[in-house]
Amino acid sequence: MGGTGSGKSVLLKSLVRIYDVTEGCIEINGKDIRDYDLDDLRNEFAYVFQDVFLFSDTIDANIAFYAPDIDREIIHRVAEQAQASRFIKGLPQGFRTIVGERGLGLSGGQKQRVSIARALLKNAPVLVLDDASSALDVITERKLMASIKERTARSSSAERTTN
Amino acid sequence: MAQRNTYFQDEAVEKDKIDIKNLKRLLRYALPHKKLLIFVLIIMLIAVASSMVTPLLLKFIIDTVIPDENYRLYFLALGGFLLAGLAEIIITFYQQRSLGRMGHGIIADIRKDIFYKLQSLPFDYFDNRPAGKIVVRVTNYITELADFFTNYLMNFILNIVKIIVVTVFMLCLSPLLTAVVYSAIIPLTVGVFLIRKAIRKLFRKQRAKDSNRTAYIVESIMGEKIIQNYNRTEYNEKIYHDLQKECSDTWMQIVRRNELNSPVVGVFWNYGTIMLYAIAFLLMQMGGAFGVTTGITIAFLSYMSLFSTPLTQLSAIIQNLAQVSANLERIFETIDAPASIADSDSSIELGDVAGKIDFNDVTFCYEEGVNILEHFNLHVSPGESIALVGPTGAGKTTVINLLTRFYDVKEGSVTIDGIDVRDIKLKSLRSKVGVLMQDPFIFKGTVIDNIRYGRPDATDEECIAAAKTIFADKCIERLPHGYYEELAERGEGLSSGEKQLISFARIIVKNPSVVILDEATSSISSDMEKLIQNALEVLLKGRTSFIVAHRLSTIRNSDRILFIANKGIAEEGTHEQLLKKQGLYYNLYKSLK
Repeated sequence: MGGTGSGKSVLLKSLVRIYDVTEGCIEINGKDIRDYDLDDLRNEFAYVFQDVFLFSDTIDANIAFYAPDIDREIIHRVAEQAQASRFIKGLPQGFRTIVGERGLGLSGGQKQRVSIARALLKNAPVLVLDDASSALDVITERKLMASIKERTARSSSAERTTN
Repeated sequence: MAQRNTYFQDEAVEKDKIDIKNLKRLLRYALPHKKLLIFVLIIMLIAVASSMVTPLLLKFIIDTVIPDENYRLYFLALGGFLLAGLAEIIITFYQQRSLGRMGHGIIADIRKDIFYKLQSLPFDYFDNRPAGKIVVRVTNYITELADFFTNYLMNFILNIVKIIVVTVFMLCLSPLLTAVVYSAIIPLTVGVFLIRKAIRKLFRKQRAKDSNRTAYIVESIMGEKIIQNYNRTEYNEKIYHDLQKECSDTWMQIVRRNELNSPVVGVFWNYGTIMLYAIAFLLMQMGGAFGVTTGITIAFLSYMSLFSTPLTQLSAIIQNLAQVSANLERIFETIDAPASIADSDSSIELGDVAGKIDFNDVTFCYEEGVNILEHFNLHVSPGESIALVGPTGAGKTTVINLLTRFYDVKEGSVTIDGIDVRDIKLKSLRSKVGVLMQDPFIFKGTVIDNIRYGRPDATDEECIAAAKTIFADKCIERLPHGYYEELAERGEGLSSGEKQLISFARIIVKNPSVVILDEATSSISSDMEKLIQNALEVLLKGRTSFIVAHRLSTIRNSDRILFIANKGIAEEGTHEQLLKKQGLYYNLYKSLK
């Protein structure tokens, strides 16, 4: 948590080395993150960015971005957890609906939920939510957090920023 | 039409007929350069004339000068050759320079047209096409047109003139030999045309594949953070490889067809030359039958070679025409796209706006079949502040999109002070309605430049004053260069709160009668929130406002709250009234606390 511009996003981004620190170092399990293989490091984190970007593709393909050939069952499951299932099923082509670049055609909150589902599918040990529920109304956000807590009770940790 | 287009779907181009209309339209761009064109045409005709004269000089030398051993005349003739050669060099120089200038002038004009058009096209044009596919029209396709003007167009006209003039000269010398030459030329031309037809289709296909690939590249750049973070680099490389392969395969098909040009031309050409020699020799053996002399034969060989350049150039030009017309189809498709949201002839300017807003029986959908709002009615008095709440996707943002004509209603109407928004000049409408979008777009430039976007003629002092009104000055002064800090495209590096403050200042500078606020997030710290709350009060005073609200304080301070759900207004009233109802709003309120 923190004020506007205090550096929360930058901190999180440094964890996955989108930025490298200028002084000091970040360690995971005692080892500087710069000494880890970049791909291995990024595999540990599922990052949901503040500004949502969806690709010009079906909703299916967007959610399964990390593992394009994964079971459809799993896609539906994470969509459910991200509270996105209902609105997706309400679209004329459902999961096969193509969303244009930057996910046009969906409302801000809908795009966010799809990107959260995408992160959940990655099933990484650490889930990072950078102000990822900002466009969600409070009720949906509650349900989402509950669902994530339930997941992470079984695995390791989730982090989020908020103001 | 409106089918969403992605990188793996080729764009279908509607027209499949020959593009004479497009070419004519393209030529109209050359009209402003009429004088230059005429100049070039004249000098080129002079060049043609001089090249026609040269074979005659040859004939003259062979038939008259040498037999007469008139060396004075011989040197005179040589002088003629020299002059002709010089003329050609000088003319070619000026021709290339003028055409080059003209070509670039023309494509600058076309680029301007397409860019201006893009500025006025409605949102759904962009909703349905990846940016890369639009970009490629403004850049690549138009650049290729420049080539057409500098190298191909004038030569096309010139070559036709040359062929006609040469034929006339040849007929004057010997109709029989002319017939021989033409017996080769005609099949050659037919062959070249057939090849051209096959290539044209392929060019279209190649354009489509090329723009698919560009769309993919652009998207990969924009989504680069996600691609890296989700370890998709390898997989995406494969996709790119496939797209690239489609491009190259199609290109190779074109190359293979194109390669047929030389053999076809070569075969008929050699045939023609041999026949000419054979028949001329035969005729001379017969003692100069049909008036064929050595001189005439040599002249004919010379004229025949004058055919060769125009003909080979012609097949290259026709090839280029195929490419140009494929490009033109796409370019004109954008320029012709209906600006469905535009001023009509009877559009009016708004005077002073009181701010009475009415939605009358409005029905709207973004995609056919999925209505967002149905029979939506809303009547707002001047100065009233309306808060829109409800689940995402219910239609809150849609309501405000309709007010500013980012989209038009499908049924019903939206009116300001009783005037239908469709009858108001867009510029006027949008100057009276200030919009704060959910995701403020920060342009590349200084802080002041970004604030100035609210009203381009605002002075630096006005921008700074605006920032002070919303208490953004402390934040901005903290930046290394304060108000003159250079901001990056899309505001990279700024926090979402800072972006909001800047977009807020834009509204203050603009000073509109109606304010629309699509509250971005609840992601502002509580002290920031207090500051904004105070500024908001100042801003909203005396103006009609619509706020898609997420924050409790904003909602409570509004004159009227609308709970948008189920394609319309589910609940409506003041904060106290709605709480009493203990309905949807009540539940929302409880969870917000």
